[in-house]
Amino acid sequence: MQEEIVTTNKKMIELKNYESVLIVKDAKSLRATVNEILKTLQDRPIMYLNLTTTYNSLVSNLKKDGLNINNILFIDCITQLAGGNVSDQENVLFIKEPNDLTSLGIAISKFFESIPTEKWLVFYGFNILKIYNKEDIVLRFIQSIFKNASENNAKIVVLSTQVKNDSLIKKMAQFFEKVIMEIE
Amino acid sequence: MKTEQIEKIKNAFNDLPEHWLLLFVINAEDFLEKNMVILNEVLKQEDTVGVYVTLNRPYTVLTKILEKNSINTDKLFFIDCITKTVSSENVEKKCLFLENPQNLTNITIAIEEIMSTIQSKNKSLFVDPLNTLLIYNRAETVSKFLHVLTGKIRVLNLNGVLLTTEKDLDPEFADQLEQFVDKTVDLSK
Repeated sequence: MQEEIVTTNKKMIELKNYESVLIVKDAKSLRATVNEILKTLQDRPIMYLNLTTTYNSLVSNLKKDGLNINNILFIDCITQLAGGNVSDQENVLFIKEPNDLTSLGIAISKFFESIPTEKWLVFYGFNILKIYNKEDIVLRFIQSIFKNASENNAKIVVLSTQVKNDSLIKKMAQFFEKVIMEIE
Repeated sequence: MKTEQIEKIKNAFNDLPEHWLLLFVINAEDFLEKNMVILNEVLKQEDTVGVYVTLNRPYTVLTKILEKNSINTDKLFFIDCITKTVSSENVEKKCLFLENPQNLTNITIAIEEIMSTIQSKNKSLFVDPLNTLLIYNRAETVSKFLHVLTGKIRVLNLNGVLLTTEKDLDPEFADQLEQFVDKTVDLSK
């Protein structure tokens, strides 16, 4: 696997050329970047796992930005935790909380297996997993997603913020084909 | 306060989603002054009713400050997390007194309870200042609480203003927090 760390303000890379991409930026830039990625990939099947906000709020913001969300399956790990209504809806799976990595893993692998063609997992707010889980558990979880993805023709984009000397991001970077770090 | 800072506060409320969540990072020196301008901006919005969670100033002190700054307290309810830590409180119609800022679950329940009694469609939550939570709780616990609280603000279709002072935040905590909100406004410079 080729690992490259980019520390300059490069423009968005050609995502489609890579099997897996890790993007580490400050919170403000990261939000704009994820919308760009979703726009770039909007004609392909996407599973969008966002750990920072609820499904309803997310969908209304994406629609406001003019994004076509028809090809997106959302995973929401907050609504239930915050006591919201999680009635059945077609394009969203509700996970009880971000420490339920088993359910999360099952949801991801079902998505990977259900689509024979190329599909994408876009994982936003990755570092939030650290609030709920130990670092080694998160690493094992990521490793299992990679295994699943390689068996099922799935591609992965993980977006995260990073603070100085964040060991999780450093350890995780080795799994990715392309690593983009735009932090001070 | 500089005119540009006032403009910055006013502009923060532009181009937001229907229900929004803002984080203001304020320097300790003019925290109160900026806090008043922000609160005034929130309450200026049509039909807004606010719930003010106070973590540092007791309700009686806070209301006096608000009145002095011509803030219309008729449009506000309060959750006071500090009075009971220092004295027994008086019963107030518009204020819930909680034991201390350590019981984060109680804060969430109190917010939900008060919000459910407010009829207005435009409800705002004001948390002042959330870095105080770090005095009473571990950073990890506060991170979880804020993840749930911001989720609740979304679920209940509220607007939210979170205030914090710049010096007390550790980078990891600040970083997580920034991801939960729609916009971060740095008024510390």
